Amino acid sequence: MTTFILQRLAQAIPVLLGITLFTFLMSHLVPGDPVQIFAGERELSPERAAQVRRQYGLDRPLWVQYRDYMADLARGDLGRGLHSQRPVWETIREALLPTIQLTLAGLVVAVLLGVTLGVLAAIFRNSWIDTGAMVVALIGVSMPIFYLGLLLLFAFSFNLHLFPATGTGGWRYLVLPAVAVGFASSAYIARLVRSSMLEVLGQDYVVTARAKGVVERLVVVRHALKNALIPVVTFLGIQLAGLLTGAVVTETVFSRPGLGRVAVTAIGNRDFPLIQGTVLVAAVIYVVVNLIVDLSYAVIDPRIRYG
Amino acid sequence: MAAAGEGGRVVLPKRTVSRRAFVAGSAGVAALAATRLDAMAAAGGARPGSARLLRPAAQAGGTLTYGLSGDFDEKLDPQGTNFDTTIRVTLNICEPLVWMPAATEIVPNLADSWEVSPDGLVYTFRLRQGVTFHDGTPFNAAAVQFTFDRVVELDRLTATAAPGTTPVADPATVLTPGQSYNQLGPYERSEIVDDHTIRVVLSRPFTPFLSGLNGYLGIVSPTAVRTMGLAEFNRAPVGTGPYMFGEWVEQDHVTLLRNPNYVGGSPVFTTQGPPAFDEIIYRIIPDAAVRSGTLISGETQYIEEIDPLQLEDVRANPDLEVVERPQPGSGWILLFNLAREDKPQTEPAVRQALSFAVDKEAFNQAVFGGTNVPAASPLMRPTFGYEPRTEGLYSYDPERAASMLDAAGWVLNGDIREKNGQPLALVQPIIDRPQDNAMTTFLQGSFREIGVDLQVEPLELAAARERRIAGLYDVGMLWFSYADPDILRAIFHSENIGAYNRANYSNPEIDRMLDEAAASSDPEVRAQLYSQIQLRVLEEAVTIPLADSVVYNAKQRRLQGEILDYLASYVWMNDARFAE
Amino acid sequence: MGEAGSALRVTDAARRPAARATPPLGRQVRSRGLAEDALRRLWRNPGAAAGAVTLAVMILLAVFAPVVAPYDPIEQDSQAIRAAPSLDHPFGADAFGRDIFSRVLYGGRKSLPVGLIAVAIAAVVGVALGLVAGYYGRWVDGVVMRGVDLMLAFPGILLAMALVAILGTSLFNLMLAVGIASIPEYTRVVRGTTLSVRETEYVTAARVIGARDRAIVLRHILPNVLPPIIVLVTLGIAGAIILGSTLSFLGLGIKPPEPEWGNMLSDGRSMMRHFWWVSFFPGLAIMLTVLAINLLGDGLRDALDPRLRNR
Repeated sequence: MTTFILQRLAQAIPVLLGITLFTFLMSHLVPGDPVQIFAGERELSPERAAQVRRQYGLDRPLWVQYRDYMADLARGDLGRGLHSQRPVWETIREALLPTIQLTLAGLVVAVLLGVTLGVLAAIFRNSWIDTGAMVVALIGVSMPIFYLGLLLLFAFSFNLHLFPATGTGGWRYLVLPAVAVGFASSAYIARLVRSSMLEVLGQDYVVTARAKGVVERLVVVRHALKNALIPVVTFLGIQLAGLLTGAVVTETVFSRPGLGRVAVTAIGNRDFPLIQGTVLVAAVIYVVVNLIVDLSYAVIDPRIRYG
Repeated sequence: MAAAGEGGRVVLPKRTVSRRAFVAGSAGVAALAATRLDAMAAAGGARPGSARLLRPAAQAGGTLTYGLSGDFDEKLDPQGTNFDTTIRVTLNICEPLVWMPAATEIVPNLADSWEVSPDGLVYTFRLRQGVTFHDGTPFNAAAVQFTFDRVVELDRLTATAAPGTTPVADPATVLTPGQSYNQLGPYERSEIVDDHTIRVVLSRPFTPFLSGLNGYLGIVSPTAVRTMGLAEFNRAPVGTGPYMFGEWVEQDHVTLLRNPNYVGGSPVFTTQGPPAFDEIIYRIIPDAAVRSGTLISGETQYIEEIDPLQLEDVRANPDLEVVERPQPGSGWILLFNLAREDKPQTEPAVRQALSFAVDKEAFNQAVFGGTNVPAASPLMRPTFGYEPRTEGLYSYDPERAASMLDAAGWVLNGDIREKNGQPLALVQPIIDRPQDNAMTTFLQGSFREIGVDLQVEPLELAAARERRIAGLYDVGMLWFSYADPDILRAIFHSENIGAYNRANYSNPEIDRMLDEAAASSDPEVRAQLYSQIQLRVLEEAVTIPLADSVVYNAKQRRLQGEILDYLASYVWMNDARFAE
Repeated sequence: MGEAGSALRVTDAARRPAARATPPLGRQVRSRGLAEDALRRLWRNPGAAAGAVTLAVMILLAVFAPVVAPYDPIEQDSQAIRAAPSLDHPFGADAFGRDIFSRVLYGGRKSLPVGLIAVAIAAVVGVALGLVAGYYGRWVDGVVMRGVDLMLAFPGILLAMALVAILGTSLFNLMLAVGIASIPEYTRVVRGTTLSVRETEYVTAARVIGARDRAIVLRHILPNVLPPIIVLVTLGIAGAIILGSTLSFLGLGIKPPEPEWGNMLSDGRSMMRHFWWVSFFPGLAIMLTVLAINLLGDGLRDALDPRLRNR
């Protein structure tokens, strides 16, 4: 087990190195000059632009910039944001918590809704319940988060005054964004659960259990659902790891602080250290979460052993 | 915005306008300078009808939540930022020397009075006594000198550095100035005469100097900057204002706390002493529909830039009030890039035809929900010198436009006209934002009706800017809120080619008239000249004026005493309170 | 084991014991029967049939939009700005007075290809990489999977944003960006399945009797990876249309004025409260398409599943 974990972590190193290079190249391939963004809506005269470029060392050759960045990184220093001059790590650390809260809350919504719909659809296969559950799930999958988010805001915040529309704080601030983020995932989960349940339900041991007269609900819970959850866990791993994607839009619609907006702003500003830091942190989260997911298979599926 | 087409809001865009231009030119503000002493005298009564309360605000307490339309540029340092959004917050923390409540009024704030040397090079300010910064240190001439000097520090370092030495200054210790750099004009140095008198020396006469001393040059505590360091100060600025910095949760909100030691003193305000609210929360809510929703639901009590489609809802709501104000300056205008020699827009007939092709009322309806005003001139109506005769020049007349193009040899081939095998197609890169998209979509439809293909390329801000710097556009857009008709110099004077003269328009006669108008202090002469300039650029169809902008902020009725400044951009909170 | 994704391999093997049940020999003889059989069962499935018909209708409407649409989709009418649905404009008109019904019809000509082509790019490249990695294993697998890890670890939306920003905001670039961003999902799933199928007796048998690698991969392994891929594809088409719309929301959409459902939805969002029809109908079109594709996909999946054959 320990060897497995160490091996996996060792494999992560080239991936993370690749990420830094990939991010670096990409942020320089994207047209646009970070210095021109300094003036915001206004513009910098060419002379001022040159001045600022010199001040920030952005006039150095690309490879020198990358080398220096990597040297800092090796010392554990993510650098400072171009605009804020604040340590990148501080900015990310602050933004990480609300994003993780949002993602976890979204996952809870997704799992509760998705598993319920999926199980119902599988048990009542080809009935109107199946169809109904899948239609609900598909509404989720075919509605962009920003649209669903606005619908939720209008309905539950501005009309019914049930939840605040913006900001962070207690759980009440989290409900609408979590639903917006989780609804789409619940559709995927519902479909995964339904199809794995169908497979499992068709398998010999379940058929046998049924034939032996085991109560239907018990079959579902003990045999089918447990096995059906394995792909769901895989999916959750990918979702958690890709937390930025849902967060980008949800945070914008609900005016929530978080990593998604940090990333979008950083890209818009061509704030290289901040882009690099955000992507790197997202990548580390991906690696760690997937390791946890893989380890969790051992808990769900005793047939899996790590050697 | 400055930038054009980029939709933000600029206050005093001195940067791209060459400084020389402004020196020669700002007669608009020369008028201002001439009247400034009167203004001072009159300032006490500047707001007729408001009884002056020479007492601290009612002990109301409470919290005001304000919905900001945009985020900050990661900066709360007034000298570091480029965003009006930041200044809307920080002007409550770091107050400037003077306020400008109306076009020709400059009113004392931290400066009690001032005089200008006859050659226009030296400004001597007498500063208010007994004022302390939020960190307890005294406000004095040294603080003013420190504030101004930090804006030009990088400039000075770069000027003295040997070429090729990089980086020239560590951004962690040397400020990268923002808009403050432009606001300060040709500042050279300041001399401390005594603890409360400072002499500011300019490198050349610059009449708009006083009007530039706004929130971007809010005075900061030197002690705080030195002890905190730039990055930390940028997160928690320290000044003398009625509210003190509380907290900043990035992308979410900034909280300001009441300054219990505030003494006040500016005749702009009735409250002399600490302000009413215990705290003001500036909440960042970029989506207009959401922002308007929070006002209706009571989550906010004041919002800027209400969603036009919700204007009627807000008006109909007895608890809410719309704060409506037409802006001065240059509205949304289209500019043809005349430097693209092989492109159709270099033909005056094409530009004139296109000027007849836009139904501006429909434009206003489609893009702004009818909340702005169809434009006739590159000057918005509230601006001094606006020429009403421009309204008769181009009416919406697509048939006439089509026949003009026919006459010019551009004939239909399918949907789009062409001449000598060249299609009548114009390229317009835009920043992909809803409003920019809506404007160009409308124009695309209008132009297509007469057989002109407007090819819109939505880009990200950085990419769009790169395109513009490279000159790769046939059509550009501009919007500029500004207090003086001298804004026309930024847009049409040949010395601003490469800057806001997006049309690359060069006409010696227009240059001469712009210079003359800027140098004159006689309002009639100026009005005469600006009238000719407006008519002339419209006859040549260098620009198509589209819409005059009107600001619509909104608030709950119980909020009273807040003041929207002349540019309709900043809201002063000294007197703001909830009615009982 | 011990390499990344090993758990997935085990998982897929565990999930899909049916693969092992496929008889190794005589497969060729039966394959035509399988396809016929599948098609027959597909049509007997009411959901799948409904999905197929709906999808066919949407495609036909898009293809024949110029004939069916009552208006030019980019023609503006200042008399009809934000007009409510009526006999003149069955779906109402947008902020520029353009007929939404016509725009929805024409929109299909952009949106359907966005989904289909993006997914085709992702599926073809992703499946090929997955097969190669899973079948050859060793260093090939290592290289491919590190690349996949890298792409998965790189936030997808940022990748799409960067690609669109680099390449420009054309429809094709949008498809490319969405397609590239979703390659790794396919690779991962296909590789997992391939790894498990590779070890089965019939593949070993095929190898023993001297079958070429390509034949083994195409004939024995590919059919086994299809069912999970079909599910991914059906969801992916929806995801691609939505991602296009999201990019448009973030300011990286495709050029106006050509209608595209995702764009129309994004543009109409601010009018949701008072002029619901502006975003409702393009939204409905997306939903119907997604629903149809998914019903069809479910049917296909069931039809291709050998265990369900005799039901």
